Amino acid sequence: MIDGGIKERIKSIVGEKNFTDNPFDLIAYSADGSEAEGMAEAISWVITSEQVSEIMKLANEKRFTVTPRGAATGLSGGAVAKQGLIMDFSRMNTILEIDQKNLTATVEAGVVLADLNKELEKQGTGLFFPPMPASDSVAQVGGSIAENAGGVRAVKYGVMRDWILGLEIVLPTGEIINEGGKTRKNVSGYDLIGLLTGSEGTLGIITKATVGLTPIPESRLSALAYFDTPENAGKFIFALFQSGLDISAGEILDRQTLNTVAGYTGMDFPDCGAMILLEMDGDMEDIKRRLAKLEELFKSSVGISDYRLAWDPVENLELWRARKAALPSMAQLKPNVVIEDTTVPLSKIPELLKRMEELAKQFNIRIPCYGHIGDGNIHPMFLFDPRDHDEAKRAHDAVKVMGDIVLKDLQGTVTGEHGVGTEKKMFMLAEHGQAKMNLWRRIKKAFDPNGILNPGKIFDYD
Amino acid sequence: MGTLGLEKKYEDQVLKCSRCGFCRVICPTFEAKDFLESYGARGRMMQLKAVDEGKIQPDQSFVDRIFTCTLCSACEQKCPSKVDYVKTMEAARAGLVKLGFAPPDFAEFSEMTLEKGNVLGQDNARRMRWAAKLENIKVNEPAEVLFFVGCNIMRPRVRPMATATAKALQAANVDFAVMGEDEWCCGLVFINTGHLDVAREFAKHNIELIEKINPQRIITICPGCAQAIRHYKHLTDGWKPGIPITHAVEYIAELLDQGKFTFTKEFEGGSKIAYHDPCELGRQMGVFDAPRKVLNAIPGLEWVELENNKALSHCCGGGSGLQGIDNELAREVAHFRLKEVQDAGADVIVTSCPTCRGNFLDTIKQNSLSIKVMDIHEVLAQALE
Repeated sequence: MIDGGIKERIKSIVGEKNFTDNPFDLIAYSADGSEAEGMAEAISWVITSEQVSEIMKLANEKRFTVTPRGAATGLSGGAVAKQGLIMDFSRMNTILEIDQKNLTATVEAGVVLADLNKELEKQGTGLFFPPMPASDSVAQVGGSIAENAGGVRAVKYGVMRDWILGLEIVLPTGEIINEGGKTRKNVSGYDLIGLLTGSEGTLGIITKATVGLTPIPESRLSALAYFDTPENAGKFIFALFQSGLDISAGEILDRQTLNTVAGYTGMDFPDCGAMILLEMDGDMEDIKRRLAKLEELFKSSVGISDYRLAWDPVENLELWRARKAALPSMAQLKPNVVIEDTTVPLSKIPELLKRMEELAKQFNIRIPCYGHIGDGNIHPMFLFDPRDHDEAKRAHDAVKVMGDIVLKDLQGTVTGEHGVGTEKKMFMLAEHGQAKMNLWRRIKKAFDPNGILNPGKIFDYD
Repeated sequence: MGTLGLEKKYEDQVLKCSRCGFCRVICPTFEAKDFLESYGARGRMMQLKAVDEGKIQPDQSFVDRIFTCTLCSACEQKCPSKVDYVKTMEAARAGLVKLGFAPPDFAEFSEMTLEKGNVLGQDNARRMRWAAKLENIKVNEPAEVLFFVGCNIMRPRVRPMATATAKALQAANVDFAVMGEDEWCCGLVFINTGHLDVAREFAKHNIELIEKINPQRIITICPGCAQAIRHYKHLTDGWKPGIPITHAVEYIAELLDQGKFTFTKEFEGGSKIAYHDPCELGRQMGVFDAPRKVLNAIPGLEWVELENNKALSHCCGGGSGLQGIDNELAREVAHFRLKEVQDAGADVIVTSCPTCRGNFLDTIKQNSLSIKVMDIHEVLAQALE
């Protein structure tokens, strides 16, 4: 409970302008991109790590909870508070250093991912920060690290963890610590960067980060192919990886998604079971050589009814049209969607798609699937109208069954890049088992003895 | 139906907002309020939902958060769910007005505008001052083209825009008429803010005059006026003029295309001009090429695009009557846009909307910026001298 006295102390730390408890502001901060909802008691914006530290010390003294928040673009409820204080990082957004010699950038937590890349371009560095979740135009560095975000290019460039060299962290008890730095290798002590990245703001608050950069590829070109069945699309992916062709994105849209996109955009697709979209980056000559090799692979593969290759950037954009229209088109069908984040071994992708089709029939709902076939991360979309209570219940019941399928039958995980938050907590015991969850509790206790930092996320602490 | 009395089609829009937050990158008031979500598109939709579902009662702080949106529609460009945000916001405001909630002093403002016929509260006779030195201007007589001049014309600084437009029409031998002292406010600010009964009064009056002139086309120098007249069909029993209602710059671009007139005078240069797309003309009416065509047709005029242009143009801050509701916020929004002008290395900003022009001008003065602002019709005026 944050009483009047505590509010005054928070204001004295961050200043009057960086505090609100207006009920309409609290409503505007009561959700993220998932279905999770909750009302905090107050919101503060922080500008310095010292302010974060002071607030955490106060929170420990007065026993109120703190939920760190970036742009709240998350899809699992990680930044949603059901009580206590929301700590917003949007105003702590300075790019502190771009170090071209070491190929690093050091930024405050509230820097927007795309803004870092814009600045790198503006300074003519020829470098970029590759992790690019779909929300990169608004998502912030701190939140993206806390969620260990991925995105369409993770198949080549990896996820957030692969690019974090150093972190400044404010512990739940208020101490400010630094981990790592600008070195490319560091095995000195426990890997706290590894532990904090993806900890969803439950173990510490990321206030600054030093990230790695890499040269911008000269060009990007893509190809797409229509397959008679998802199984054949899956088989093609194994053949693709075995061929050694390096892709920077590998996306799949299943039949239901294509039908939805066709209905929304008027685009025409051949009768097929799935469409695969592949992107390659590098220097133009090399990409074209690889595209030609890919065409040979298309020709020799089973089940491809048609394919297209983009030989220039304009055609390339055209090939991505259907993929970019996938989410908007679903919103036209039903107002609500539970966006799932299943990730399975590559060999299980065809079965996952087949099982989702069966699940849709079983529960009489629509579950279009699309996602990153290159790394086995498929997003089944459970569509429903919240005013149709029966349909809403069927959609949520189907999500539970989906969890069983992914965990028991397909040896996968319920989340590849969106995080657990509150929305996938129900699957944690089945996915990880009691012994591991007990270890998690001990880890949480060691970092946050009073359980005040982002409570209720990933698992229940008691 | 909930507290705000939203029709199902608008309830659907509120539900469609997936709260992804992609609108954060472009919402001008969210930025100007230093990233306070309740002044951003996502936060506003969440508040509307909570009020409509009866979870919280509206109060004046809610009114402030809802009525300070400039309705620039930039969020719609970024919205993956394609929420029809502006129309939903207007419907919600109409619901709030019915419940007795409106920005402070709005009742007096409505009354004054109805009494005077214009939003500036001036004597409507001043509407024709811009034409003092022009001859053969038809007033309320049948004509091919109706030139709807708009309330901003009462300001001396806006008069040259109308004069230049009329000169261009005369140079192209266009048969046009104006509504003169009988023209009333187009009503847009009342449509935007949910005061539909007030807007309807203006619509009825203006429609009567439009029918008397019986034009084949209506042109305006303010994109908001064109938008309002297009909206009259929703305020009346299906009034369907069946003629194009466009911004004057579109018509002038057409006349240039048809070779009806040309610019011969060299533009007084030395300045680097940047063009600002007004939200209503650009994003909402889809007019991007016409002003660029006009600028390109003027000899010696050089101009640059701003970083955020066309459909992704940033708002000037003057939309939906924000200057009257929260002038400080309106100027803060304008200041962000003017920084873009400076980043582009330009020292003149040209727009096609008197509201943008006015808000930019006030902000430039307040912040002592070395930027000049011009309406495209003022550029025309120079080119036609």
